[in-house]
Amino acid sequence: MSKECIAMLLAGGQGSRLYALTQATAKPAVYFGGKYRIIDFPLSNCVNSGIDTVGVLTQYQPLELNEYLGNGQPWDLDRLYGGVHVLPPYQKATGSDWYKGTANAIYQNIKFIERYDPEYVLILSGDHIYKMDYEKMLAQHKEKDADITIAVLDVPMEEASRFGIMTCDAEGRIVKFTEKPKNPDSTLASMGIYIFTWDKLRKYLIEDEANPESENDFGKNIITSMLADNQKLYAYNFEGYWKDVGTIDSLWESNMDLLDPNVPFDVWDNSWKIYSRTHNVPPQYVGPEAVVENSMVSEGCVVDGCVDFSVLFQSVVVEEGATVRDSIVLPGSVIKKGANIQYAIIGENCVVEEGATVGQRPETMENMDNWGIAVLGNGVTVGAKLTVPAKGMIYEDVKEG
Amino acid sequence: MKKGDKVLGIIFPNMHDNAIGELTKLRTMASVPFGGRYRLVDFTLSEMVAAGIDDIGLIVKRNYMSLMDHLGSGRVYDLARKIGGLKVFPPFSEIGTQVYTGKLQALSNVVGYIEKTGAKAVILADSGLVSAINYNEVLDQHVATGAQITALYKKETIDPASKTDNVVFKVEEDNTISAVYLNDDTTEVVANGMWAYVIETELLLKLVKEGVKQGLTNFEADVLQKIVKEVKVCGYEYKGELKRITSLLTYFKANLDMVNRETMKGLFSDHPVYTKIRDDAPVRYALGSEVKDVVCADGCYIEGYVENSVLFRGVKIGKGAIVRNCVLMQDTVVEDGAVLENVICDKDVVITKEKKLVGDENLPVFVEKAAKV
Repeated sequence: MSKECIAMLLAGGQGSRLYALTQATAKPAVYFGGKYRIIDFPLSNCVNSGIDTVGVLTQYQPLELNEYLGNGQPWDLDRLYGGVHVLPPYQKATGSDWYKGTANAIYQNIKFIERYDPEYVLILSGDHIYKMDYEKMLAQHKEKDADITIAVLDVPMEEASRFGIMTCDAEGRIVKFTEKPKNPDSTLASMGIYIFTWDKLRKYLIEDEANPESENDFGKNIITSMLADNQKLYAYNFEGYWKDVGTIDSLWESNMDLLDPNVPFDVWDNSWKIYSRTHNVPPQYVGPEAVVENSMVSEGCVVDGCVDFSVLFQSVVVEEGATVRDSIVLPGSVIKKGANIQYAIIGENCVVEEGATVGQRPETMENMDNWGIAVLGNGVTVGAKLTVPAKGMIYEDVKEG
Repeated sequence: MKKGDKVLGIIFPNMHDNAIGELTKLRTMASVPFGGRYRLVDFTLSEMVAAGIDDIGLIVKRNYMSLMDHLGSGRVYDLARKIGGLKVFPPFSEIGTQVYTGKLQALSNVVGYIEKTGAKAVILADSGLVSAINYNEVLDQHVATGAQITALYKKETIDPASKTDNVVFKVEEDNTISAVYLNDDTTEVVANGMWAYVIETELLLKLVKEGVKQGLTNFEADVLQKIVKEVKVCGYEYKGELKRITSLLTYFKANLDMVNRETMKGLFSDHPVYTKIRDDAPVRYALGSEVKDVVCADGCYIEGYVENSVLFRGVKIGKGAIVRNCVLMQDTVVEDGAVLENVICDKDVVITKEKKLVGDENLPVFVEKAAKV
């Protein structure tokens, strides 16, 4: 039996620019949107697009991610043939290697892919928040008889130099690819989503591996060589919400986008559900003195204070007189009486003691250079009446001023 | 039984269906929605699972489609097992015989199942209660007293709504039960039975086999009442949170009491309560929403005013809508400007724009499943 298309999800990234949030966890396992983790988005997209076989390539701090994925049941990926498989680097008779780069990670799992004898392989990354029907992209790939189809997003010109930029002809065929160009001649940015015809990818992976000069990276090496060999590379235009949540700022912004009715990104849409592993907690309770507005609040929360423009994950407690504004609070954290959280991300199981302050509003800053989102790492306690300033990145308990 | 022996759980989802005809028209008592994201059976199953009971049978009688859908494979309760797990027994009736009328008769159809599990004791539980029973404690007491039957009760007065559907025990100082009264109309505090028993398997099988031969059907009336004089029957006093769903009004009040923190603590701190997963997004509170004293499940979208209410999964409250003292089940939509007070909406109800529905706190308005008002 063979599968037409299987997905390989690159989930080994450290997400070093998320600092305290990725100390002990891989970036795809980072929390997002009140009950999800980043990896729920590509996994749900796969299932909703009819792709039932996903290899998840892990490397950095895989424990939490492995446990989270389990047998894949929450995403309907517990299948007799196919389903979700975690693929860490492994030891071979001839030695052992870490994944050297994105292309090498796939190269090392050629055997896994071949078990399903696929015609096409979809390469995904576990860093992005978006909803996308990969089936449509695959249809275009087949229609154009392409060797590789790269999903692209039209970005504003001033941001184009942050991305891998594709230049296309009138047919949508990619004629040029430049990684982070200084003077971009196109605004079509690669989303890091590729569909390859497997035979072609296999050939290029083997060649790439044999080249000692290569960095074994999809963008830098594989795509560039395919382009040089005049293979058929096509762009697939994606319209809709897509965000790389690789930094504290973008993670915070993307969460806030869920609260903005003008941003076309909707996790309440039942026709394209985002699945996640959920824990059994009671429904949420909002008390008699609470003020909750323009926020997302998950099950198990108990809110007696004020919550405004914020995202609360499950089982968060906001006590009376406490305020949470423009912030994200991860599961199980407690914001005690009179504490004040503004422009902050509070990690899992943190305690902000009575009267403490985390973060600052930008309009109260004298020097905006010192402003930024304040972050508490997992399990941190901030002592009573203490202050964590704007941009603060806290890894350990704060016991004194 | 000895400590550590295997125990089997048997649940009767259709018992007491009549207490709340409005809600059991299309479902069993066990699948009546409760507390924002649960069905009554979730509490009973979770109690058993928390005590390590991993072999549980449900003997259903009618209207059990919603129950089957809710239970699925039993995976959410950790009961999708190769050995044991969750089993649902549909009614078994031969030509010429009728679907069972009482528990004793119902059990006679599953004698083979009970024998095969090798359980030394069986927990029998009806439906219609919301509780947080710690069955480890109950079983420990059952073993320690050497009782043949341990009957659960709570010391309380009898709710007038269950005047014709109650079982009361006379509990002696040494914890043995010396008499069983049915449909007692006393107003005193009594040992009010909880329709839940631990019974030695050997005794149960003997009672079922002999009882059926004699044409007996009802466990409490035909068997328990007589047998207290012959074997050791002990009481177990349950002191935790208990809601009895005996009428639409008690159902309404029990739900609204969920906004009471002590009730929540009483129901959810002994063990987790499992339920079907629906993959809803978290609750969205829009700009201008105002919410006071509300219990709310995932998937809700609130733009209006909600006070002292329970919102099940996927409920939508429109702009300018006012909801007070209401129990709104799954996917109820309250459109802009509508006003609801003391109302129970079954699943998938739509309350159209500016509509006003007001009930009394002792006589709530009930809106049927999928109705458009």
